[in-house]
Amino acid sequence: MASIRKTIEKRKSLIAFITAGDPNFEWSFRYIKAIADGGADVVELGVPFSDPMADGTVIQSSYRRALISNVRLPEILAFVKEVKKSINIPVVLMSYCNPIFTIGLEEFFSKAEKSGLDGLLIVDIPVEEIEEVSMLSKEHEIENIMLAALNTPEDRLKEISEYSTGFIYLVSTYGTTGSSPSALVGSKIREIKKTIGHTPVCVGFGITERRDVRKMIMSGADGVVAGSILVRIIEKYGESAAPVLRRKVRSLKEGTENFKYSKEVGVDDYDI
Amino acid sequence: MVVKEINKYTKYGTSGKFGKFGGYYVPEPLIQPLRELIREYEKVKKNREFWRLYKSCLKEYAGRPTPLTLARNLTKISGGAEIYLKREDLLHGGAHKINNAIGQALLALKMGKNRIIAETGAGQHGTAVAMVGALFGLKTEIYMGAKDVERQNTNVFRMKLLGAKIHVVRESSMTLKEAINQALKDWVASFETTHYLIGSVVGPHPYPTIVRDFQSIIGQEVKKKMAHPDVLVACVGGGSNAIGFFHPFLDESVRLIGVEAGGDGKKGAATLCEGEKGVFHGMYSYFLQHDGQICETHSIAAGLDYPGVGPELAFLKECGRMEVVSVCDKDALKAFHLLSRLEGIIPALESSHALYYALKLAKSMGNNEKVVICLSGRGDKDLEMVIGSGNMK
Repeated sequence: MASIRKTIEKRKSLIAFITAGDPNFEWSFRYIKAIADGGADVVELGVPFSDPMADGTVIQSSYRRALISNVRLPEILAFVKEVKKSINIPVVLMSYCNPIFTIGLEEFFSKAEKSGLDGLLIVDIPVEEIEEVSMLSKEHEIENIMLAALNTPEDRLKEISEYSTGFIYLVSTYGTTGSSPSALVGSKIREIKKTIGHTPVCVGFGITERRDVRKMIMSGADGVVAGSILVRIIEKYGESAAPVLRRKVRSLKEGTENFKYSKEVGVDDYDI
Repeated sequence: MVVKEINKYTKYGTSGKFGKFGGYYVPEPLIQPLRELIREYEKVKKNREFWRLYKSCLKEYAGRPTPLTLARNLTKISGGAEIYLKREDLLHGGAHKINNAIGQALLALKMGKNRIIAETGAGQHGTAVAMVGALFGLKTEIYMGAKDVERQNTNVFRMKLLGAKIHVVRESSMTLKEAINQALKDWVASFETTHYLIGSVVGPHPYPTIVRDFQSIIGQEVKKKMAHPDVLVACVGGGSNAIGFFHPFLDESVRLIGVEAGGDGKKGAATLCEGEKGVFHGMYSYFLQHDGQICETHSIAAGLDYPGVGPELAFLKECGRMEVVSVCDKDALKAFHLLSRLEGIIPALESSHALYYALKLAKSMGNNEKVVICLSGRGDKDLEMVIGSGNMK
């Protein structure tokens, strides 16, 4: 099984996000293949929700497009099964609580396991409520990914780390998806790495260029998540988005490669 | 047994859970602002000076206490129970919303914030926030759905007069639920200087508790005037007037009835009657939803036009302490006219829902019994809507 954690531990990773079924499953399937071709290490699929409170307008619109095509979680799990047959990198689902709770946690996890899903990130579940999800994800061998924020204190980071069997997803900003990363993110990455050490840390929100990726990696991140920028390509190019996505992913992926973690570059230069 | 359980969860609980309802289901960046609010509120709760100031603002500025009016003509016509009105419509601004706005604005000042933001549906909460923003010199910005802006134009103008900036929200349903989404997004980015002043007993912990505490003055005043009412009736959208009215009576043997908006027959907003459990706007509660997606709602009363309900009300319904019914647009309008003609009081369309049900109920009760209705607001804001409904005879 292609474990997310092992993948990230092996090499600095690019995690590419798009919304499942945006604007429909057929196109979405092609996009995912293009993303994998482009060199993404992990694919993250958004589960559309009517009221995504952590997302900016780009991703919110993609959810709306998917919802119009009647894309719902049960169909997405069937879709993941198809996707897993044609790509060999791990697949993560990112969802809000409500679509999952509607199916019921137990049923969701047993279906997710059968689909071959590798990881799960529930955006709006805090550590206080994660126990059951954590137990079920272990039982069904799905890696759990949890959010950390720039203002998450140390004791809480430790707790989040314990439950993050996949990786810790550090939110780079106080805004929604698509907002620019905060200047504080570099020092936060280092703080997390120092405090919790073992769990990989990936940074997301507002990653648009190769240099953003490189900045995060140079600050010590193990991986970087790019989302809104890819979704915007889908919004703009529609049916012919696949080759553009492939090129963009390749360019972003380069940000994780071919550089040395050297003093000369000066990690702190990027941490203004 | 039930009472004991209610005590456990709603009186002394600080976990933010009412049974299994409530909690703070939010993305991690919102956790610290919420925890700061929890900490500050815990401090304030024990601060006598704070509550003295709150009470004095309510008295001097908002016009409390409000009367408990015996509606003689309605009582005569119903031929049953005595009908009383708790007159929140007489408050400054014209609705109960000011109770909470004053409380939270004082809390914001305590926390050293210089900006307050709020969502509004009917514009009543937005107006209350704009008033306290002006009063306390806080920069005030209000999120309001485009559809609500259109149907509550007068309130928009009022808020502007009071110095508030209005953000018109054009996302999807363009009503209260979108306004809350946008306000939350603002708050994630601005919490260091900004307090999000939620207007109902909804949202993540500690909001349902804070808003309830600031609204409980309604029920406390009723209790002082009337120790043993038989039935309390209030309308329920998010549920702030209802819980404020009910809460001091939870341990008494009083029937509590929440009246939801049944809508127009096609679409409604009767969350407790027809919704399912889920997570939305940071809380575990009941929601009108389909396939895990939150529905768009309809009610003639903008203040009830919300697909969710406060977690404490969900809990009170679940354990059987509160009864829940729904009243449709048409019947609410009937009650609106009836109260205007018979008592010379023009009620808010929200409160008219409670009124309609209470009148029906009073008929079936004995002359020695007492029904109290929370008249949560006045109807001036609804005149255009009523004229538009073709219901002016």
